[in-house]
Amino acid sequence: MKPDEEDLHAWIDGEADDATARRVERYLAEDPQAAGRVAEMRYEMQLLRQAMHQQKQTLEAPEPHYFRRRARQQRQRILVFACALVLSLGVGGFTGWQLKDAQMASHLPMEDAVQAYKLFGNEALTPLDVSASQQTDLASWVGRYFINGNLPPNLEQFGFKPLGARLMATAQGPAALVMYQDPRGTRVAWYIRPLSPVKLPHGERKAEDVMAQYWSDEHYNYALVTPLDGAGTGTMRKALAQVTG
Amino acid sequence: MSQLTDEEIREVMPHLQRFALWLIRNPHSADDLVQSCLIKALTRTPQSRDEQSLRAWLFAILYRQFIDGERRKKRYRTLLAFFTGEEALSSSTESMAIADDTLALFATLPTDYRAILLLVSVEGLSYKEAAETLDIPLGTVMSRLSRARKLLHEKLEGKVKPLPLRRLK
Repeated sequence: MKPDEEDLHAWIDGEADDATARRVERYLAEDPQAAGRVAEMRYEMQLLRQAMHQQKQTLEAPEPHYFRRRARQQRQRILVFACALVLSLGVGGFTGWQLKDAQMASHLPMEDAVQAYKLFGNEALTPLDVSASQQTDLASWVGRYFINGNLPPNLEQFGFKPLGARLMATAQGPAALVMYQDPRGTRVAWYIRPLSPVKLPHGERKAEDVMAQYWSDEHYNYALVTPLDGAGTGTMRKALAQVTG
Repeated sequence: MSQLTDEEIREVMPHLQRFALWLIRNPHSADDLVQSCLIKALTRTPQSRDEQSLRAWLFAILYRQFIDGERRKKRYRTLLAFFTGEEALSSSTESMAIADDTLALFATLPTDYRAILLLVSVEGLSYKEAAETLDIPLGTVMSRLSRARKLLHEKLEGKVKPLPLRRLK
């Protein structure tokens, strides 16, 4: 079988296995023309090698320690870069976290509910939009503005009857305050507002002389604002904490 | 295992320089190529210390850097052509003084052919080492070698006349 071109080259370079080598040698012995071609090729490679070796090296040849220094510098540069990256990410992350905390602190949950209560909870009657003494009237009124929202709770078991309601505006949309009053004139307020900026967890906080208890569902934030010193509001708070918590 | 020793660097330097010079065909770029190759090599640890495979390992690093550099150059040229609307001329053998006919012809071979002939016929790498250095299959080494020798042969025979590089006698 006649060896192919690549077999010939493998044989020239000493890369042919024994079988191929024997086949190539037999072929070359029988075919002087092919043998001449192979000899020529070997000669040309010889020529190339010689020319390469004779070619004067005109390149610089720095001492090895030069490369070692450069490699060290490069490693240091990478290290410095990595440190700088870690540092800047760290500083950025930390500051961001602090900032977030600061913002959270400055953003008191349901502060609008507390302010609304203060506005309408005093005796000097700031008039309410809707005055309703019937729970059902209020419910239908709230239902108009807050789709899928919870309806104002019935607080009669604690002695509080609905007084009226007022629609309010926030940056996120409408909010509403429903005011209740007991026979002694103590007022508590239920407040509903859109979810954003955040869905609040259950919680409560004191603001001066009132307590705001707040919670959320899928669509709205709610709060119940009660005076801290009001008689009967303690039991109501406890009951609410049980229901929402 | 540790980094390359001074002695190993001195020993391999002429080989790297020759490989770089005939790949890139410009002494300045060849210097840069050898330097970046050795600096890269000094941040790693060679897998084997025997002289032949150490050389192959360094050739592989150098070749990889050469290819990356060519790619960058090509991208840059494409970008340049895009903005200027002209084809930028690629640098070639102009800055290299070649006194020898064989080398002058060798310099006109395509890069792939020069690389394979340098590794196998000049540096004496095995087919397997050459395949690893150039990151190509063994079969490609064999076919490329065969085509490279054929083309060099034709050039030496004067069948293909590379006029500007032929020395006038």
